[in-house]
Amino acid sequence: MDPILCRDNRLLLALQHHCPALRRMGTPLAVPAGAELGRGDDAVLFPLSGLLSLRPSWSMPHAGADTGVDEQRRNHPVDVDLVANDGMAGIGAWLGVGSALESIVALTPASVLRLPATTFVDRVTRHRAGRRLMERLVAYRLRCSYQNVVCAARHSVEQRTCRWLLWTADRSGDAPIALTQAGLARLLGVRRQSIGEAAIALQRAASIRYTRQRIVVADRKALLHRSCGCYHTLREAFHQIVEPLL
Amino acid sequence: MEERATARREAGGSGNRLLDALLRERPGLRTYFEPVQPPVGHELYADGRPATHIYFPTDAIVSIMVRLASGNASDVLTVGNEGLIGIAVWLGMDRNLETAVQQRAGTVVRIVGDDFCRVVAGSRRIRELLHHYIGYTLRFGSQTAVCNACHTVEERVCRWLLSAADRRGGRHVDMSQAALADVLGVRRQTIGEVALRLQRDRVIDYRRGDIELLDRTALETRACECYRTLREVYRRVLEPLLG
Repeated sequence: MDPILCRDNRLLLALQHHCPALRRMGTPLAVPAGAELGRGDDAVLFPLSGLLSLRPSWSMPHAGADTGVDEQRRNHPVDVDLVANDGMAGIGAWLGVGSALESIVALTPASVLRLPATTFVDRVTRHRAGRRLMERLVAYRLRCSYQNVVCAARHSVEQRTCRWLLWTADRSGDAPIALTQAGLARLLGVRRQSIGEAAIALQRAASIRYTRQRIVVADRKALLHRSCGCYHTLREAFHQIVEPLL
Repeated sequence: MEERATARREAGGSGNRLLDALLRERPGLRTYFEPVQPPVGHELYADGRPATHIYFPTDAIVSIMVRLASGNASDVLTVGNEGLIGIAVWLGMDRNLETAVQQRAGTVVRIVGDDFCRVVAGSRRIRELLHHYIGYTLRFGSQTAVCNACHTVEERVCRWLLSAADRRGGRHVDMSQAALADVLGVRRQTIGEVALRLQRDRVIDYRRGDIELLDRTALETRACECYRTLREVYRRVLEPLLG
């Protein structure tokens, strides 16, 4: 493969600048929505387009008392974060915890560049600037994790829906977001109906529009108004922690 | 766990499992130990302020929190002698990633960030251990986010009580219902209802500020799977490296 710089993923581009060996690596993959992309132990993935979602490993089905909560809701897989063209899936490989962290699933149709984990870690570790960037990515990931814990506890389905729609729109340009209600429901860990209700409210307020299975952000300001502060907080965090090194 | 911590301290251990593993690689780290005993409620460091130290609780318990846009601080996770707080300095960050508040009285061993980084530099094993600890923290966060979104308050209370009791190694958790409501991000009234139910079923007994776990089996049944899952994650990700 000719050494090329990947301009479609900002993070990979920066890493390739610091670690020239990375320019000669990587397998491009085009995957459909729902494609399972591994446990984050044998490869790292850089999305070029589309969204990947991260699913915690080893979720054990509940074996306890029946508390009357909807069984479907309790045991279906839940995603905890998204990765787009400014990020990387497979931080578990960098941290050496292999498959203990999360598995990776395509939330929408996506194209990614796949790099073998061991080689990636080895090449990046040799360059101080590469290590520094990865450390910042880890720090940002921790900050996101903390925020997600709080967001899930305190913010409403509508607020959280707006947050993720804004996040996704930031990374999709003007293109409609190929994010289904089912996908959103998984991301928020709620029943699909709850997303449906939030979506109706947002449509009524003309903040979003649907075209086939894609959500179009019609009124960004309105979404901002209805979103929880987590959107801004993490945007600011990315800006302070990762962006300066990109 | 508390008895073991005491025994380890007497045998030359630090009282913190993670720190003990670091000491095995770099015994010189001990020179930089500064044991402190902040009062309950004291803020060890704040989100966004300059990152200066790394901290290893021994018998203290520390709460990690983030500031919300609304201005409130919200609890994210709790760390005792199984972990550390303030990893920001090791990640080369100028500023803290979170706020840390003393939740339970006791000792925290703190080390100046620059000293820590200098002493541990070059140790592959320490890098591996700290990376694994971060991996564990991320996994813990993911699980807790899912828990907060999907599980009932009762399940979350049971999970929390079990973890808190595990750290102390006994059957008591000294925590008021108001504090528990704060930590879980739910209304005090809801905690009250759950506590009443658990007490009625003789799973716990509570008196002002003290909760006694009467029936561990029942608690484990009524807790969400997060309790077992995270114990398993700790066992697989960290135990092998702690020695």
